[in-house]
Amino acid sequence: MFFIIYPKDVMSTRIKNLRLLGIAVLVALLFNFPLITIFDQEGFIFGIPKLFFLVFSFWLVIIILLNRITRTKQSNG
Amino acid sequence: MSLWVISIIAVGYLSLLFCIAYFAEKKERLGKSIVNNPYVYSLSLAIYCTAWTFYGSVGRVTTSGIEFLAIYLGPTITAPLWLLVLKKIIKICRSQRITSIADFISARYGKGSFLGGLVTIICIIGIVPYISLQLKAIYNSFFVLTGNFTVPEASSFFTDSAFYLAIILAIFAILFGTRNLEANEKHVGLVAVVAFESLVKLIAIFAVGLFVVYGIYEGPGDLFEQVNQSPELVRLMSVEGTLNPWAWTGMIILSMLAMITLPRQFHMSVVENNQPRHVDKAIWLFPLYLFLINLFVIPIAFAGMLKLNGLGIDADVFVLGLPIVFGSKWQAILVFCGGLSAATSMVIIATISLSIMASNNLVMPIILKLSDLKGSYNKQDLPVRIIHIRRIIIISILIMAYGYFSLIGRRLPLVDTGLISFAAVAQFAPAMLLGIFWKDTTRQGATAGLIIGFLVWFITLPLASLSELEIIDPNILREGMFGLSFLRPQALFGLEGMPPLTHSVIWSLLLNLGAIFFVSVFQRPSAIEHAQANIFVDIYRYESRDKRIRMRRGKAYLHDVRQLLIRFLGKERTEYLLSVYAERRNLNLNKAVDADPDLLDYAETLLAGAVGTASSRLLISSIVKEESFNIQEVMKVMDETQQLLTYSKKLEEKSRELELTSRELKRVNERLKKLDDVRNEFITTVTHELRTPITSIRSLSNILYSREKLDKTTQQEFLEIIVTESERISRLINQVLDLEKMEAGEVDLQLRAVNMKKLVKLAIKNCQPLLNEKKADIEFTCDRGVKEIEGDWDRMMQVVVNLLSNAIKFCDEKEGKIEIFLSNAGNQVQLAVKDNGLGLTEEQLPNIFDKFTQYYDHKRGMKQGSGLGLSISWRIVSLHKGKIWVESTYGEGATFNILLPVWQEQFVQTFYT
Repeated sequence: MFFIIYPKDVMSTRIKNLRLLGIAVLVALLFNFPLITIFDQEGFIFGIPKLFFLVFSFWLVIIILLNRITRTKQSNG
Repeated sequence: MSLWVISIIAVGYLSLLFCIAYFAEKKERLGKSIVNNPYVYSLSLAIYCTAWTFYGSVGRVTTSGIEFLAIYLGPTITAPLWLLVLKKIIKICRSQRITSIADFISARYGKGSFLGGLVTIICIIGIVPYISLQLKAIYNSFFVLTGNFTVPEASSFFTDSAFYLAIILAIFAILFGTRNLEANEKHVGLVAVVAFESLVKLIAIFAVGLFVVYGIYEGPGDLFEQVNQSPELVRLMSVEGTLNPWAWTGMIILSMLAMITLPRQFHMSVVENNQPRHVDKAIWLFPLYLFLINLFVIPIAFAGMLKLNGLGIDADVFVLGLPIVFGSKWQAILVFCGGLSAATSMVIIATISLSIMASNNLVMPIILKLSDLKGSYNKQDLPVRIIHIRRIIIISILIMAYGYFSLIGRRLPLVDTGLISFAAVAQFAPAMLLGIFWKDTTRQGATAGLIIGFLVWFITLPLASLSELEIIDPNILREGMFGLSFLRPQALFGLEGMPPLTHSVIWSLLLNLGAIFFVSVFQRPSAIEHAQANIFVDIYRYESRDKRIRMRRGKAYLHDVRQLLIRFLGKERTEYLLSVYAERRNLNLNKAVDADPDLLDYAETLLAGAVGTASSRLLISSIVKEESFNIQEVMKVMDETQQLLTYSKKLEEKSRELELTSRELKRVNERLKKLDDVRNEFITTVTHELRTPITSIRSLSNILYSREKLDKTTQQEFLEIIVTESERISRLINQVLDLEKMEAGEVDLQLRAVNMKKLVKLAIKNCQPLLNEKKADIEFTCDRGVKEIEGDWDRMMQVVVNLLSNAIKFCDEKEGKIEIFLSNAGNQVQLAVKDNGLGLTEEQLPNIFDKFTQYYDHKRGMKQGSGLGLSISWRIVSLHKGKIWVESTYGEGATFNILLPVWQEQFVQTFYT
């Protein structure tokens, strides 16, 4: 979809972008209807309603993933 | 707390911010920037979280549960795409000196002032309510802090503290953002302030959250257990019953786009960006900030509903209400400062970015078009006028915000107003995003898209709200505009069953996209649009190759350009920038009279940073006698550029090939040179070798001829010498011819079984005279049953005699000893000839078998032999598919070895018998 000419470090930038695109699609699907309803469960985890606990946990997981991906050697764009 | 104390706290806090800005700017001047790092950059992006986040989210939870999160999950979805989108926009803005969204869109679509103006108007209409919302939040927090949970209505605006609040904020925005005309609208102090305020609001909400969960309750378990016992609150803990899928989707779409379409967000993430690579870290730092600031929203909301029920506190101020009722005064003040941070940073940045936009895209073009620019050259006050214009705009925006607040704003909840603004600015997304990825979007397309999108937004959201609040005719909502039922604001063209927001988002964005697409497809871009489209879409290519398309043919006086720049950028900076330009192009600007088109482009870009793209184009055109390009010419330029690129790529390839070839040639040449040297030396040697015998033959013949009375023995002696010398000559000539023949591959070998033992014995016999002469011993050792080899008898004899005579020649002068070994080695027969002479040095070893290589005899001080014997031997052995090599240590003699294949037929015979 994105035909862009990258300045340098072409391969690693391309792969990094693909991974990030994957994350974006994952988050977009997970936090939208209908998939978001899978978080909608009764009960509590550590005293916190499952819905809140799951949504926030997944959010944090995504942030950690983003950290991991962008941490790899970066191009000095 | 009295209103006065709170006012003093607020003003004190704002003064602290001013100190921070001053400190940051001072550090920047000293070269020790405190804002030039990804953490401050990420914090400055958190300007996204306004009072709406700080107070409004909690209010939202009390009605719709988890729905508020959509606004923060949207940016988390788009953050991973920042490398593709945001970084590209940053690079474009840097190269084009773009300082606002209006500039961005106007620059992309041909630098016209109409489009920039249109964007500015949409921004103002969309953002003013949003600013008013911040006023409302601060205003409400004031009253809650005084203990008045019910906010009073003001009788007139002079007695209304919200009015004074607006004025104070305007003063601060003016002080922060419009002290002087910056060349690129970078405000280091502002960035520091926004980052600091982001920290304060995070700390404040964390403090309240921790206090609520662990101070008022005994941990989250305790809190939610109590929630669980309240039937009407349990509903809020599930998706079902709280979330409308349509509303959720609409909010997610808006918040995804908001990161680049909100003016304040664009200002912080693009204009104030110090280094594009900071984006890499912000990709996860910014979502992390959103995560943290929302972590305690739900507990605070539930605690507020449980504990503040019946006190008449609006859910929008639960964050402040809880510490006031249960906590200490200081906690309440911290929260108040957090809310103040959230609101002030948004108001200041939003008004500043709107003022830049409005002055560059609305006011300046009008002034420039109205005034006689040529005549106004001597007036030095234009930059000052721009500053004044911006100040007036800031004040007007805040007064408008106050007006909106006192007329309508008081009646709407925080979040609704915010979302309406989001939906307004979302209309920029198609023009911006298509603009950087698709070259064929045209100005008319973008204009059509923006106008249609904006109109649909206006009808479906603000108009509907006004109608709902009965500020305008409420019948519009039910019966449609002009009584046309398909123009009902909340069910446009009969599309029903959606929340108003999503309904508006879907219609406005769809029609916007449709318009931009279809109009673009059905027309061709103008020349300058084409050029700008190329720069925007292929920014990386232009950036890396430093190539520009020249869009100008006109000329101007350098003096005019310089004066123009000085007026807007100051003398010092202008001279510096011009010297940078001159250095890069290797020009001497002191001597030049005319400014060439390149310099004009450069000046236009520089001015764009100060007055906006459209205005700077107008300014430059005012001093240029310009002939504009037509589309054919631009296409030609583009084609030429493209062709040049292709050519240069081909040239690069060719030059690489050439380099390789030339390296190869050089190597060959060197070898040839060496060979040439060797040959020269050889010729000298051969001539010498030939001349010596010829001289002796001639002189002896002369004697024989002229003196008849020589005695018989002397005659005989002379004749003998003549015969040997002639033999020597013919031998030498034969050798040379032989080698030539072998090199040309014209030798036929008479292969048959050769008994090497016999051959060596015969060779020794042949060399006996030499041996006797040298008085050297010879020893021949032969294994029993040495096999016969496959070879040419005469040729092999030549080789063995050669090796033998060499050994005799070079063995020890006094006690010469030569050893010959003959043995079987598998399917081969090995012959070794060893002498006890000096041996060979390491330098001699590698080329001993080369042609014309002669052995230098240190004792006799001259070269020995013709240099052909070993070379011929090597060739003969090779023709026999054998191997010849030498082993030697200097001072200990040399051993020449030959390996020759066994005669196959004999081998077969022995095998079968």
